[in-house]
Amino acid sequence: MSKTARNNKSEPHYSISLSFEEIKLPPFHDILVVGKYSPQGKHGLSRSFDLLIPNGFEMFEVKNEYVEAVFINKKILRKIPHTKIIDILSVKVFPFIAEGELLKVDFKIAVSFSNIEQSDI
Amino acid sequence: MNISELIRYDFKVVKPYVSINSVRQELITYKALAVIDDDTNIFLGVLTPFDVTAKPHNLVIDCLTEKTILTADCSVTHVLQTMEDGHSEVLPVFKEQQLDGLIFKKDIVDFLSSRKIELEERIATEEQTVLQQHQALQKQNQLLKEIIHTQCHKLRRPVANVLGLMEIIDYTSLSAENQRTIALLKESVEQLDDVIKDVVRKINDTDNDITPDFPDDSLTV
Repeated sequence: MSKTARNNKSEPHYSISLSFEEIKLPPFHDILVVGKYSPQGKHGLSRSFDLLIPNGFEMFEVKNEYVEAVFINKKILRKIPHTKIIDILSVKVFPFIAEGELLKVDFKIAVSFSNIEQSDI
Repeated sequence: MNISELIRYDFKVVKPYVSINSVRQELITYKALAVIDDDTNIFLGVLTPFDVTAKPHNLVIDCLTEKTILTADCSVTHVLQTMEDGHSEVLPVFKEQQLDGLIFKKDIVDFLSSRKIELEERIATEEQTVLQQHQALQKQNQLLKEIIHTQCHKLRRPVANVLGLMEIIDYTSLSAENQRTIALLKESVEQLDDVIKDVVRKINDTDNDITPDFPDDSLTV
């Protein structure tokens, strides 16, 4: 092949942008709300969480028009019962979820006591 | 009638944690797939096209909807009602706590349709037979009536003649003994006449079409 012919051949030109950062799986830490008709169903998610973080989350089925289930970190469940959490979510989160959506919820708890009185100290 | 003869035992089995897309073609072909855990061998449900529409998730396990479990001794009526209530086209049938087979609504409907056609054909045949028998009986009945009518007619004429002749007998020329004999004879002939009239009346009661036209008790010698 002559030099002229080789130059005429079109070759791809690459322009690359690159960056990286650490991620943690799963991509949420406190609560995941599973909307109705989401591509990922509760059983599949439950299984994948079990594989990623064994015994890390507990699933609760929810009777709601837009929500199928809720996954709650077991650390949170040690501090507050799931019924209260779901009551809060029903008011603050569920009305905003769209069909087929998965929502991660940051749910930070600070527990404090005041006026603790003990007579035997 | 129960569903035992309509259960399909050659059902297709799929794993629960596989993609819906990977079983879509099988679902179209078989209309229902039994979902059984490959590790524990536990039956998890029956996947139908309705499930995929109602719960459009990625994994088979997530698409399953709750279905009533049946046994082979369930009646066809009960199963159809259960299917209607649960919007199910297919339901699992268990035997000794294990999946035995699947029952399809289509199979039940096809079976009932074929039974209906069979029964309609039988009824039509029996109706035809009954109609033929009825026509034969009518014909025989008509013939019998005609025979009786004719015989009564023929029989009554001489009886009427005897009665007429007895009316013109000169009783004054007879001895007292003969008068009693003639009186007894007349009584017997009148009884015979009544019997004939009774037979004719009964024929007339059963069929008004045949109306005997007896002459009056006039003498026709």
